[in-house]
Amino acid sequence: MGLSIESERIPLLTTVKLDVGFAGNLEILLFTNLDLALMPGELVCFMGPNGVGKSTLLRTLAGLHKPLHGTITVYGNKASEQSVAVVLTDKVGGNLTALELITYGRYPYLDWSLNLTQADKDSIDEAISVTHVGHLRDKKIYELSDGQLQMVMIARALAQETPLLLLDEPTSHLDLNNRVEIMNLLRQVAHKKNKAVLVATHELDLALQTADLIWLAGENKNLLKGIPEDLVLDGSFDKIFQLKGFDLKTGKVRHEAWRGVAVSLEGNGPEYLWTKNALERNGFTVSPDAQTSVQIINQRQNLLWIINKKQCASIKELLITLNSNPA
Amino acid sequence: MRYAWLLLTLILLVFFLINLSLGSVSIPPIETLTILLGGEPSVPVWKDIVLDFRLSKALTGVFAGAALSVSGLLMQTLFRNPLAGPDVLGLSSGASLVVAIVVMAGVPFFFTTPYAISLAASLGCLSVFILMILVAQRLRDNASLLIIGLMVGAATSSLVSVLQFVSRAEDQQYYLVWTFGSMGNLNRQEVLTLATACLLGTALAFFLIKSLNAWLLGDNYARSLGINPNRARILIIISTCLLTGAVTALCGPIAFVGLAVPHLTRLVIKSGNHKVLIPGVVLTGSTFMLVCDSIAQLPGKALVLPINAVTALIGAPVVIWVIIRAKKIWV
Repeated sequence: MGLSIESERIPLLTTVKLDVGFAGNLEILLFTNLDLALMPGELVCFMGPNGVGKSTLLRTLAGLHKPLHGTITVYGNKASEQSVAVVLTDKVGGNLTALELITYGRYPYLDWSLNLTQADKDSIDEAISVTHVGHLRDKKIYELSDGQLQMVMIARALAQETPLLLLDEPTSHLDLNNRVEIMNLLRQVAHKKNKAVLVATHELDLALQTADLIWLAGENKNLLKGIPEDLVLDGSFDKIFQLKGFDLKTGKVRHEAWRGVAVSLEGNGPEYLWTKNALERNGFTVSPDAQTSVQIINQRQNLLWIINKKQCASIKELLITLNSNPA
Repeated sequence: MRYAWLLLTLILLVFFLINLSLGSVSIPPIETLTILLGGEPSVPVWKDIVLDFRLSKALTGVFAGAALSVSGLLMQTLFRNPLAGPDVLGLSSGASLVVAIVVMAGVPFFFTTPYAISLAASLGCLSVFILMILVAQRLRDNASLLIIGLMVGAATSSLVSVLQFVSRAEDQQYYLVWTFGSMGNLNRQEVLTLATACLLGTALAFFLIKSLNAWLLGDNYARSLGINPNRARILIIISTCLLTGAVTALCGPIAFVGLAVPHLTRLVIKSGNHKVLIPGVVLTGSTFMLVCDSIAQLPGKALVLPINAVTALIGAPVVIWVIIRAKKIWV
């Protein structure tokens, strides 16, 4: 589906000469002169070091924080509760069920009596089915895990049926599984529902693999914009995050070959990759013309590692053998 | 859920009847019911006792209990704090101060009218109310509002202490009796005033259920859902002042009900939705007040205990029990 590369489409959200920060006697300027555009159908990850002002910019775009200067428009109008939905880092508590929390998403369309129409109920049901939280409907929100609560908050934002979704650190404090699930969901929502989704995050690995576009904050109070791969190759990420021991271009943590021992490895598939990973992590060099050779044999789901004619049933055993017999 | 409503209404009606039957003359509840339904009781004078004396007191209990409980719920939601009650804005402190000035400092203030105390209390509530609206417009922060309310309370009560220190013993006694709270001294006109204020305040609160519910998510989320927090805050304060102010002016500073009843209600209505919580606290609050009043006139039958002594005496153990049972208390 649609990526920014393709075409000249009308942006959903536009900012003109936007200055973001805190007004007051001591004015704090976080970003200046921002000309931003969010396209429908695009997942944008907004990245930058801690304290750079990601949350403030996000809240400013959502209309929850006053910009210092400049304008923000959503399809030419002011941002409103019917055009922007947010998931923030604010703690949500209270004696509510998940369904009641999701129902809040319909508040912009309800009058004071809070009576739901069939259309409201349909929106809620759809949000629930997209986020797969149906089994949590009647649970109290304090009974939910962090990941479940975050999904319910996203369902609430989806029930709001806005063209624009802004999320602040939606995956922090979650385990890998939940993080991947949430990022995949947001990607799907952007592509299938043609929404513009902006996610502030510091999860480099996930952002690189899911974002259509990256906004990178960190220098000159402005943003670098580009597709993830370009920003990796031109070194922008390295410069802004000052990565230590992580090779972004290979996507791996850099290991020092401190043993000075080379091993040649034969095999293929995931078992090859993970064996190589284990060897490198333990300070070996993997090179095709090394003297010590390790062969991986995969027989009917039974994995065997052969080194110097000795058979090992696991990588752990292989490492022990290599350690006791260096050469 | 439907049964819960039926049960709450039924309990209210039963205690209304019991409240009317108790007093220096005991009337069988069935005879009281006959009187209320327009029938003739076996002892004719009972009709006068119930309709002319006890009915206005029972109705006062119903309206005062409902009003204080709704305003307690509003304050707990506004400050997102389960310890908040109708008095956190300092309304009854303001009323106490003006009443103390009138009673103990001997300031001539409508002393010719029987409404002197009510007027003084209203004036006190109104001053604090205006102060609070001004503060709420300047400070957009709920915690500051809470602290200023507590400061007003502290400052006024120390002024009252000074007045007590320098005043005559009989004036002190008179003031003390006022602080005990009382529901028995209202005439028809005053009951009607109380009822009107109670209805208006509760109607305003009910009109605000959307803001109140969204309020529980915090300022940012509330605004992202289209709620204007400043407008909502002012309207919540207006409703609370109307409710608490009317009760304090007419019945004195009745403590504890507004703090306790929302927690008792949440025991039955397990929800954070104000659409069910507001009717819930209205029913529970009225019942609670009638129970307390019935207990106040039980011992020795001729003696009536001050209502403030009873509300906390009954309420405190109940709230402690609720908290221990529920392990967690909600706003």
